[in-house]
Amino acid sequence: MIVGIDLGTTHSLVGYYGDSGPQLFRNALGEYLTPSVVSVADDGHVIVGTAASDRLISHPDLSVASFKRWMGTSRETRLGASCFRPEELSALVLRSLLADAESALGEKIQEAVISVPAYFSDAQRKATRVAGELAGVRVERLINEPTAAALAYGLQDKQDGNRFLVFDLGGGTFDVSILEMFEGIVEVHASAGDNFLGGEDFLDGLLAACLSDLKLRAGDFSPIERGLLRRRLENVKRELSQRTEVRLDCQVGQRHIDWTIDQDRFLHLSEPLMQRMRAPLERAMRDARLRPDQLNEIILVGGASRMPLVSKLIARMFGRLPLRHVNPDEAIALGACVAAGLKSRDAKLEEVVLTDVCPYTLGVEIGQRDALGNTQNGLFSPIIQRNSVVPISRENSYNPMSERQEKLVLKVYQGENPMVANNILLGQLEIPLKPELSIAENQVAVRFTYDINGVLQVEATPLASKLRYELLLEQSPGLLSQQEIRTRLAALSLLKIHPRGKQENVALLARAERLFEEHLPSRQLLQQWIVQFRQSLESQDEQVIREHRTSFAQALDRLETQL
Amino acid sequence: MNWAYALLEVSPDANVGEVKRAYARLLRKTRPDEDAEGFQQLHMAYRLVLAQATARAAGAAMQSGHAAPPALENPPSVQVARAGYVAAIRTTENSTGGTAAPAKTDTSPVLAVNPTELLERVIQCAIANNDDRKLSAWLSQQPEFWSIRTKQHIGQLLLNQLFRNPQPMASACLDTLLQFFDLEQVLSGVNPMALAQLRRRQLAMWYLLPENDRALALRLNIPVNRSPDRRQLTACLRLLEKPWRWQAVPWPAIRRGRTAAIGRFIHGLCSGHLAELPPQINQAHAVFWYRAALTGAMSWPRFAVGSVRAGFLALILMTCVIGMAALTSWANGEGLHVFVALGIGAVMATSVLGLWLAYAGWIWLDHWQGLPESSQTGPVWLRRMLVPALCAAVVGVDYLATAPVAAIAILGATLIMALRRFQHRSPPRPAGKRTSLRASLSGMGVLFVVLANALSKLAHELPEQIPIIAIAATVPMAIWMADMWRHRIHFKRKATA
Repeated sequence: MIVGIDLGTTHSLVGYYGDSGPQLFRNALGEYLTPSVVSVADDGHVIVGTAASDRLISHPDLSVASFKRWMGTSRETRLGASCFRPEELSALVLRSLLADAESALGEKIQEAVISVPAYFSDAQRKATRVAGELAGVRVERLINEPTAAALAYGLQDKQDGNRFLVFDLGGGTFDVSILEMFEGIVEVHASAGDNFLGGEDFLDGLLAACLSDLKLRAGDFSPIERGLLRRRLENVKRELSQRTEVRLDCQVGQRHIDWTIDQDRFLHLSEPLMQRMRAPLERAMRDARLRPDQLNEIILVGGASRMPLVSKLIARMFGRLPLRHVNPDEAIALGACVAAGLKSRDAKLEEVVLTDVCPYTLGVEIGQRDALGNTQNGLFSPIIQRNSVVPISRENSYNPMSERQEKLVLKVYQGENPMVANNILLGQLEIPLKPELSIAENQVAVRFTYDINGVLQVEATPLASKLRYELLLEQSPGLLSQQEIRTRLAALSLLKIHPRGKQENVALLARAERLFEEHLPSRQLLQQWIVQFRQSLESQDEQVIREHRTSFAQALDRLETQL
Repeated sequence: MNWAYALLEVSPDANVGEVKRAYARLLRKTRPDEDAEGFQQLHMAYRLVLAQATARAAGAAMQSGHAAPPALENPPSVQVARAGYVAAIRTTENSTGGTAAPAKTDTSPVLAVNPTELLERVIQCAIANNDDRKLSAWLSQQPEFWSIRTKQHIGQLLLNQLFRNPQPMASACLDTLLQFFDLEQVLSGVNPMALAQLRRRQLAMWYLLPENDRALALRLNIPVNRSPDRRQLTACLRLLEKPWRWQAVPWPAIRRGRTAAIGRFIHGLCSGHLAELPPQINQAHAVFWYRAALTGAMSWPRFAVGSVRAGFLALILMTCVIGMAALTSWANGEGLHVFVALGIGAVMATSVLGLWLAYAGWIWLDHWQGLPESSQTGPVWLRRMLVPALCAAVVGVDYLATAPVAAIAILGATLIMALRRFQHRSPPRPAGKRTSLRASLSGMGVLFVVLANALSKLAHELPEQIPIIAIAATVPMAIWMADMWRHRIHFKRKATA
């Protein structure tokens, strides 16, 4: 059984391709969306999901969110006694998702298809694979998020000859893909994006405006208070999608916050971010060689695409309104399920073939000499152009710069800038030359092969010797080696995780602790409730716990509506 | 082309729908995740045939008279338009006149706005706004550019226009423009070297605008107090605007630091790319002063300027000597010994000029010796063999002419030459670890005295038979051999393929 997983910046989902099409699994709390938050409890238990997201308020130093943004880097986060890399944090979320799927299916899950932003780089994709490995599943395929959304949408509508643009603005990443569907073929024409643009950035803008309006500084607040304020503003942002004006009136720590914002102001604040969204859209359109009127539909996915300003942007650029009868939160996960079904060659999907593109340009560093004899080094010579259909294999030939050159240093880069200094170095290969030969005879043919899983193979063959020099870019700086993966896997399996049956209790306690921080007047009452519930838990009587849980949850609900 | 039709199993006049159906059918047999090679072949064939079919459909639509929306259903192959765009840029790079029209083919979009007028506005704004942030804000405010097609089209026109007529523009503004129109990316079809050239040209023009004095002065390391010292800048500019005449050389040449200042000015403007100086600066004149200010190699402008300075010094010395002679003779009441005074003055002047010539010769020789092995300047065999020849000369002078002082002098010069040759021809070392060996006339004199003293002392204390100088001559020889061993790759017989 292969499951499809949407590993998002703020939320994650899991599902599979069942008899009635793609099907999502609910987590222990009965929800489809599991917040991508990890927290470590005081007793060393690892908590993932809604409970961790509540602990983000009550225990900000023991909880972490938005770690998808650090994928592909070696940044470590300290939670309590142990340090975690972003891969490990993602693996913990994946484990929790897999546990949900396993309890629903009643079997062990070995393989998964995970969705990644289309514009994820080589290192980020590899880090995601490692996260899957650390969670104990084989990652059968990484599918691009907009492609997944299109799969879910396109197969649901079954329209033929459609060209559409998928606009995916998630919590932390922004992706654009242009696809065409005909005769059961899903062909991606172009992908573009920005890995550091998402709903969180809009929230940052809102936070900065609020603080500057009230003449406050971020340093005035303790981490707990800052988290509280952020959570309130998150609600303000959501409400702004429905109402023209929102008033925030609350008590944060010692300070009373009374702030009003309307949609126009928010639009103005978000202007720089809107400008940043223009470039990927334009680039994708140009690379797909399409004019706006040749698109049949524009689909919005990702939670942040609910903001009205996104529709406004689309309307201004494309002269039409986007279509949205897909659920922006679930579309990607459903698409990942379809991809999982494709992978396991589900009979109902036998007719569907998916072709995808390589989102980045890949090439080597070269020097160039002009007619006047001026030399410029550090230029980027593309071999595989971005948005070429994968798998692809391309060859270019390069000459040494000077006579009697003893070796050619081939530096492999990924990026779009004409100067390699602004691109990402993937690796390098040294090819010995025969200095006694002329420049033309010392030509080296360089072949790049990019496979469907995004693994790049570089092959260089000097014309004279016909020997092959190979560079398989498996290992990038900032990534774990096989050995490290094994040791980390062993370390992760030692972590304590609450059994699934107890997770509801944990979540309830975390929620009560969050309310304790948020709701000053009821602190004593909450304290009392928490102590009582803990006592019930210690009694270990299932019947008592269940009853107490129901009443406790109802009480918390009432308290929260009063807020 | 035929193989593509054969692979797709369609007839050469198949329409777009048929091609797509055939591709879809074959793709199920050669899936990209199973048969990578086959898929690549199939996809290439599909792209080719599809481009043909769409072009044919577009042509048919044009012929049937419904030319107004020719590409609504069947897009003309935009790949062609893209290639045309690249070609347009390439031709404007080379063309001297303004003949290269922008790619106004039938693929250019029908725009709702007047492109030339909009383009003019963009360029004017980029010139007027020194601040790139203001420019970027202005660009993002323009409602026209929300249309993807207009933006794309104007971007292409803009670059063509700038390649034809560079405008005085700060580098940051050009970057903003390129970024806004998404032209600074590797697939935009713009030659990065041409772009770098454009950037330098525009920057030089920008620096010469009077309001950018301060930036130019900062770049040239001229002290800037409240307002920059404009005198030096205007002096340099006024000099370089005139065509080069030899009469113009002496006055700047004899003033202290002036040559270097002019050289810095030119370098600051064009970073060494003299062909890219703004049009108001005289090219030949700039080349002369730039080369005169360059240290390292001995070029004829440098020689000319140096000779003017040496001649001026000689003239002053002669005048002083004659004046002193006249003064003393007047004070002593004796007759004027004109010829004696003239003689002394002439000797001093000649020695100054001789010293300058020797120094210039030494600089030239030193630079020539330090050239890399691949350089073809001068007779290559002589360049390689000069150090051993000089070593042989040392031994020869010592034995045959028995002139130890002359031998020691040649030995010192050879040693320095060999050392500097070795150093200059070494592969570049990382910054910070670099050591520099500078040989000046005075340094050579000191070395000569030290060497001469040491060697003569040794010669006195040691028995006569030991040939001290000959042994010392092996030191430069050894250095030379080490250098040649490092470059041994260049002496391998050239293989013929």
